[in-house]
Amino acid sequence: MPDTQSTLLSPQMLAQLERMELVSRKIFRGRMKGERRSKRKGQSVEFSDFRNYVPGDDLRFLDWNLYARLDRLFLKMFLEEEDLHFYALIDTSASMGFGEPTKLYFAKQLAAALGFIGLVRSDRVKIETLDTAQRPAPALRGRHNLWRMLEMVEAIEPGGGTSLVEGVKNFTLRNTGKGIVVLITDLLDKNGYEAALRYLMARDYDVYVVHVLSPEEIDPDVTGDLRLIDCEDADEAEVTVSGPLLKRYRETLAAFVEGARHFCARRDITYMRADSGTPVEELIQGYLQKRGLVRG
Amino acid sequence: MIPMLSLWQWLVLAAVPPAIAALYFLRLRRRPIEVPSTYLWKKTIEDLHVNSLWQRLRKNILLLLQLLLVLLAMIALLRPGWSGAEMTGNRFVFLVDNSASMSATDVEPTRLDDAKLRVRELIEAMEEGDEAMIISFSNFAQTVQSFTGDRRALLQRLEGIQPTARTTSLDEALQAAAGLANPGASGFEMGDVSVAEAQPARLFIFSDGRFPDVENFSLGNLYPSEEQKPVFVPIGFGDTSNLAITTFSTRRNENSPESIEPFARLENHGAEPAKIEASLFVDDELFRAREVSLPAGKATSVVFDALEQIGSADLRLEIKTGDALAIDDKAWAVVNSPTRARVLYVTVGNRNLETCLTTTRAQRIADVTIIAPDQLKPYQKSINDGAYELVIYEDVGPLPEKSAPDKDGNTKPTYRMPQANTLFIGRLPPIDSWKAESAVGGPQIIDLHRAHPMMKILDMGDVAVAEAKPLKVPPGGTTLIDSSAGPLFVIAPRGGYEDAVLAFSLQESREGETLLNTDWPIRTSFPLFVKNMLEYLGGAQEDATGTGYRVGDVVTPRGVEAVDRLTVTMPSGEPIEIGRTSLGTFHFTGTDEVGVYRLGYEGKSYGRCAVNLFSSAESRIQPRQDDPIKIGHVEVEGASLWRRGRKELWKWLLLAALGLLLLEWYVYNRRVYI
Repeated sequence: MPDTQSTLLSPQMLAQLERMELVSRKIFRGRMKGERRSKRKGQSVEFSDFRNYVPGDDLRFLDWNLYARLDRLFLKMFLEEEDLHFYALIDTSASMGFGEPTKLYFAKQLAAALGFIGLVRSDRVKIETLDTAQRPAPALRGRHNLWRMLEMVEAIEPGGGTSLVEGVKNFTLRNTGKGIVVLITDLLDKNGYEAALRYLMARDYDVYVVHVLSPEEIDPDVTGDLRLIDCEDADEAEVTVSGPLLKRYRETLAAFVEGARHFCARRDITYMRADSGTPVEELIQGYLQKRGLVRG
Repeated sequence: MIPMLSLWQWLVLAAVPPAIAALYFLRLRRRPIEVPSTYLWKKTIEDLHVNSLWQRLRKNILLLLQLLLVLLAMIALLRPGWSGAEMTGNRFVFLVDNSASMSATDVEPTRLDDAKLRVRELIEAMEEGDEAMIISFSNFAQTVQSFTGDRRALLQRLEGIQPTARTTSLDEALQAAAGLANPGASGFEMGDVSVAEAQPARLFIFSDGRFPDVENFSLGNLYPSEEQKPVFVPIGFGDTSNLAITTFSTRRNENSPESIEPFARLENHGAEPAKIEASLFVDDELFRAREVSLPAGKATSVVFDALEQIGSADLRLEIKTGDALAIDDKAWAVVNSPTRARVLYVTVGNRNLETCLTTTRAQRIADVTIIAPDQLKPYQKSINDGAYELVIYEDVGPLPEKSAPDKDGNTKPTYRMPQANTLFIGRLPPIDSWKAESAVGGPQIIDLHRAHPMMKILDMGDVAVAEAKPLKVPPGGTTLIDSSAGPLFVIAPRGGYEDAVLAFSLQESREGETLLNTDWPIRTSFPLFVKNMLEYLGGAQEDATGTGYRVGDVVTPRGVEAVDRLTVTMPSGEPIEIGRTSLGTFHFTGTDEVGVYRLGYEGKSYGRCAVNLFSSAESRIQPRQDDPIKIGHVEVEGASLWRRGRKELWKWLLLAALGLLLLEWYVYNRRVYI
């Protein structure tokens, strides 16, 4: 294993993740046969249908019992097991560089963990950033690509004039295939996140939004007369932080989070708020499992 | 007008603009902090704006503050205020007391300054069209500024009122004020056209009230209505105590006439008994010091050890008090070299009068030359040159002068009266104004003019006169002895001199015998009369201590020969020249300072006189507060509650505006949100 394992994913974690798989709520047709059965028509039915045999069909799928009874050839149609497109979109805006550990690190960890699950299950894994200036990352498949994936994820740095909308638009233009998109972002874009999510919705992805917030953002530990400087556009806000103002801030944050959650819920987007201070394993094993992204 | 601001007030004013400018430099320093995004913070602040009930107000809080600031400044410019006293009416008369007691320092800096301050406030409170007059008064009144609406002039003249050392009398001030308020009263007849229309005016009296009530005065237009009642503003504090010298003089010891005893009277106008040191200085050298106990509210006499063999000296008495009024803590007295009257006595021989004129006592005060009528000629020139103060003609008259014959060729003798006071006994002065009736026998003396210095302490009830020619009193004359038959002794002015005429001879020569016409010469009143005459008509000063004058008195130096100008050196050292009046006498009226005045001419010293306050009323400096001033039938009560004429608000408004400016600065910088 490359030495990246120690930073993003620990061996214990890898061991845990190995047993998991990514689940999509939507039916996707993969290009290649994968290790998963795609869902079709209701839950837990592997058999799908019969059809008349035509020459050339795989004889293994003939229903020999029917043939004995009816003397006709029918082909059993099963749910095809197919591969899954898994995209992890990491917001690399400067604001992600905040927090201890940084939100970006948290995002990278999460993306790597989910990517690892995908790789193990032979899904098509693509981990991209929203930075339009960067070269699109290659799609990876198979466990052997783990080191490559980790290397790539490791190389992601914050910065760049990343606009959430532009980044997502660029992504959707390049990746037409359907699949799971996990957008890991802090949603702190002055132009709003709604347009970006609509782009994803338009492509009919199974969209997960992991809203990463650092503890400093959730509960700011500042007081006094401050000139707040936006790290992205150097915008300034002069505030005098006092108890009442902090209360207001928390209310605003809660309203912001609730707004995002509401927006997502109405559009069948799974929204998760994540605290960059919590370990990634907990998130995956607890929350994501509950929300059905992964199955362990 | 120069705004009445002190230096520090100017400095504070000057500091305001830099202070406002400094606010810009003092902008709140904010700690810069880099945050992931200001998005939420801005949203927080916006949320506040959106959510707050006060959001509209707060959105514009700076605007509101600025509006309020401008509003305050505008109101301040309107100069709001409320009058402490009702300045009803539009003509005012301000009577400002500048007598000695107004120099008391119980009110800082002095009572007079306090009075001026209050008048100034009233003047400043005057409205457009109001007119005012200022009169300063002590024992004489001065119209400082007649009726005008020019506040600048009023204020300027008001500042010019100087303290005096005079006593107080409201009478004259009221006359002056009434002269302009009641011009009709000065008309003599009903038909007289008033020089000015009678206009009511409101009277304000600023004084400590230590003056006698004015009984015979009608306020008339000075009391136009009940609303415009005269106002008396008492100046000073009621519990002010004062120790004063109310008398300081010298007297000759009867037993040893060479020694002079200084004596003084000290008064304690306070509620506490006092023990003070009284120091007597002779020519500025300490001669004696005595400790004097003064019971509260009482007076004490102090007699000092006699001064021996003093020719002339300045005496000064000082008491160390430290009280509010300093002017009565010092007193002066002078001992002049005795001035002897030069008297020429023209007589055919009268043993009684000669004896009286040549006693030791009389010799001390008068230098009497006795001549017979036939010896008169050589003296004529010196009589006419003013070498004598008094010429006594007994049964003779002045020598006639030669004169050119008139048209008819008749030579009518003309007489020239002496340049001196005269006493004619049994003869009329050769002037047309003196007339006598025919002789009557045995007139009874019925009245004496005892108030006249010539007649003081005389008792003539036992005097009989055999025959007299009763006099007709000439214009300006005064009857000194009146009888059943008519005036027997009359004095009348002649230019700067006085002529006294006795209507009866003292003796009569009949057939070689000298008979008494009256028994007066053998009565006790006669030598006293001679002494009075020498002192009054001769100008002699027997006690040689110099006449004590009080402030404001007129000093009339006598017996100054052959000079036209006298120099009076004030106590402050300022020389003042005075000239002879048309009557040939000297009058010095400028006795406004206390101290020793020196008289001299042509470099020679002539004499000195001491001027003192010596007024128990002035030294009693507690202001009149409870008992009203009676002016005629009107009682003017002290408006003790009446303090300030006008309460000004603009200063506070400007101060509030300044505070608001600071608040605005704070709000702007701190982004204060409630």
